[in-house]
Amino acid sequence: MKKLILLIILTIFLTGCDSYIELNDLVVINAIGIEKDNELYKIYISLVETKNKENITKIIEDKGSSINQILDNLSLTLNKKIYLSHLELLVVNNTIKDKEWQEIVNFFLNNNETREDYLVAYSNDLKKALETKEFNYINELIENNFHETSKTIKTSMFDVIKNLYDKEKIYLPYLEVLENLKLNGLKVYEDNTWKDIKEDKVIYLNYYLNNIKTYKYSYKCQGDDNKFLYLEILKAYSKNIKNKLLITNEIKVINNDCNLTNTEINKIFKDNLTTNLKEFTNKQIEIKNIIRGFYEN
Amino acid sequence: MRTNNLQNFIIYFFLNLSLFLLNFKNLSILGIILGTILSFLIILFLKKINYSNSKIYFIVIFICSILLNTISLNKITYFISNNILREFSNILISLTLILLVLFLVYKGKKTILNVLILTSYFIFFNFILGFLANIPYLNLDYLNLDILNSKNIILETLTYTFITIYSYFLTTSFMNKEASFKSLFITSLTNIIIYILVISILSLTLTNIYLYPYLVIYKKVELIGFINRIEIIFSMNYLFCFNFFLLISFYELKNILSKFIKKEKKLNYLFLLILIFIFLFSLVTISKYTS
Repeated sequence: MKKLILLIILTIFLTGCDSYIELNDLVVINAIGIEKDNELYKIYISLVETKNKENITKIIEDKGSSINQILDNLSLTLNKKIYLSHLELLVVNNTIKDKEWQEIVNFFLNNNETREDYLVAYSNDLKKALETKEFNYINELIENNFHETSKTIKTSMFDVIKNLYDKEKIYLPYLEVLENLKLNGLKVYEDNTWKDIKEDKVIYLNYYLNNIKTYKYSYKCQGDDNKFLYLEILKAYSKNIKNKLLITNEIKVINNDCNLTNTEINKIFKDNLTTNLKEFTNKQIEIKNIIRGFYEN
Repeated sequence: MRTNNLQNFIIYFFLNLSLFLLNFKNLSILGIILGTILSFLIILFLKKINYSNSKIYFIVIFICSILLNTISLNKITYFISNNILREFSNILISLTLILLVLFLVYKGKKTILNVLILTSYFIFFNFILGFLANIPYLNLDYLNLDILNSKNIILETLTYTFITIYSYFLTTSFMNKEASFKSLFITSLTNIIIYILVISILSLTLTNIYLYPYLVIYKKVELIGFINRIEIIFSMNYLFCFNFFLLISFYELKNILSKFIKKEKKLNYLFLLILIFIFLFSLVTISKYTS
């Protein structure tokens, strides 16, 4: 009898099964593009649909006065539950300013499903950027360049929220869509305006932000345009201390056609870094290079 | 029942930790430090006067227990419905917690202690795993003097003082042995480390924005490059911690009642009545909270 009563009591815990949703009834959103168009928000949603065992990326666009309203409308037209938990990429453009950022941040912070670890990028053409390549391709493009060339910055929604509340600059990787999609430096958002940073300057910004992973540096030998000094920066650390920026580089000499000594290599590399870093900071720059490889003197 | 120092420490540690986590948003590092010093002084003063047999002490603890249990049940239900069981109804979450408490409280002190000691191993292991998993995401640049800032230092100090003193009395009463100053100090130190850890991963700004920053830190975690979305596993830690608190707190509530009511049948009915009252009251407040 006791077991029967226990079983009956336990059945009340099965009521959770009542609200379950089949995977087929979910619209799994992988990437979103948000822009403002004449006081209305325009959203591009990238969804993956499976047809004849093939995954097809489909872009749906809609307009509305708020992001919540657009997603509610979409839910009505799609006849499925919108599922944001697997969101991997958010793309914005220059129509997004303070008010719009606040709307975006509020939407994602108040949404229990989303996780703020997805990447945020900037594009000149949101629809084409999402249509041309899948979100996976874009994410890997940013990730690889961040780790291998240091020519971009990986910005997650966590960083955007933090920088927005701290009133700091927001750095977003720029996905330029002309004939093809290309990563072309950074876009910086500050004081309601968007500015450009060219890809060759991003490395120095990464030094300032202590984001450097690894990259390669080439220097044309004096007097011979066909000869190069080729360095690989294995590791780099930077530290902001009051009025100083301390930088330590671990360098491997890959090619030394110029037959330079370690002291000369050190000087060339230091001069180059100091000149370029002055664009980003007024602090006194102290650089320490540790040269590894076969060209020890 | 044989009690040793380690059991005593574990009980105090998890009671304090769960109350610390439930009130995370109302605390600051400076508040924790000042609260620890203040609670040390209050406990030293209380040790000099013989409080343990006075009726006022029991009445104060009884009222505090009812209030704190209601608020905590409310907060824990909201925590679960917000982070773990989003589609589940609040009534069922609350009911599950209450039934677990009811079952174990009637089973007795020995069973509760065994359950707590067993789960403490899991929590310790999971906390260490969580800490190791979070190491790559630590950013020491976030740790500057700003982390000592507080919104309302008096309120934060008083909150932490209350947390420490309440867990001290609960442990002393449950284990029939006073929690040592060493355990008070170690627990406060652990709480400060947890606070600093959360800030060094999320930054002070994000810590202030999120409702459960100590859970959000696990959203960043990716193990061996591909195991991600594991915050639910780590959230079980917090769940066990909160259960720890609920079990001991409700058991002590019954214990205090037994000082006034000697008949066991009457005592059981009254305890059940109080439990139902706390359950209903917490549900009423949570519906307001979530709306």
